[in-house]
Amino acid sequence: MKKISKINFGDLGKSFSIFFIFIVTLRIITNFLFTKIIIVEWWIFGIEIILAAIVSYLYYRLKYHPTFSYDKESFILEIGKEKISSKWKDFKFISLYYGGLGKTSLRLYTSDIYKNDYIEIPVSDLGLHPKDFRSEALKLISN
Amino acid sequence: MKRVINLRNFIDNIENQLIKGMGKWIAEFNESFINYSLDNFVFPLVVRGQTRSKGFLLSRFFAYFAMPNYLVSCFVYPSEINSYLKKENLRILLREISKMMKKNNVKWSWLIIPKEGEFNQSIIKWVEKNDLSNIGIALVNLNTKNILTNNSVIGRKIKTILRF
Repeated sequence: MKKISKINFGDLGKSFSIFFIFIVTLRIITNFLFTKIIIVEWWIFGIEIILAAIVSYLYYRLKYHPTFSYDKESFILEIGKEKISSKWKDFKFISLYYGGLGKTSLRLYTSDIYKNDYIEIPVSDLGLHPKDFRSEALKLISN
Repeated sequence: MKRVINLRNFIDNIENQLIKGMGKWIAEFNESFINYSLDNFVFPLVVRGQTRSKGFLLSRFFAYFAMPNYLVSCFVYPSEINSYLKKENLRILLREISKMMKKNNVKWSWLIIPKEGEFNQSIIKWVEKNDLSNIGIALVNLNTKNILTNNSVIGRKIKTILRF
């Protein structure tokens, strides 16, 4: 099976920002509650960055990190902890969905394209060329 | 020198232009299908979207409260697929599209028919007279870059998204 996995710096940055803001806010509140002053030290700031980086990376791996493995018969898609596996032949229609901000996914529909019954492969997050991969997937579902 | 556009390039261009927001004043297209089959017809390209744009902050807020969220689609069906495309075939094609639209609650559609050459006069006249209000039809001559649409509002709007 061919395996594709790529760190998505957009989602990683998003989780880092959230955790960094959360950690700094928490530290300032506890600081103020116990000492009535807000300590501003560069080494504390450094620790906060390192801590936020570790926590956000773990969160990113659990929630966002995409891994896609496929061969001629089937594929396995993992987004964080979630795992979906299916066979190419189960799908009838393929589309490219443009979600904005440069995010493109390949949608695989089992029957009706107007029903929300599809699997979405985040091709841009995986670093694949959307149109090339669509052509490849079209061949795989028609086999 | 006159730039020659072949069918493949034309279809690629339409997909790229619609996805990049060429038609955003009319609708936001965000999903494209190739070789989509509808009954007996296979469309090399179908792009669909909705009239409510996503936007960012204020435009999203405005779109949410002011814009209706209609589903819309754009079908590309080259005349070359059916070398003897006649009024009757076009009528069946439109009937199938209408049926699909009714079933899936699609408010309006565009049907773009490109051809590397002249269309026959009977089809041109038929399209010009066509008064379907929810399907815009465009006959595109890729050699002369001439675009002929039906006379509905939706039909006339097709000219705004077709750039050579």
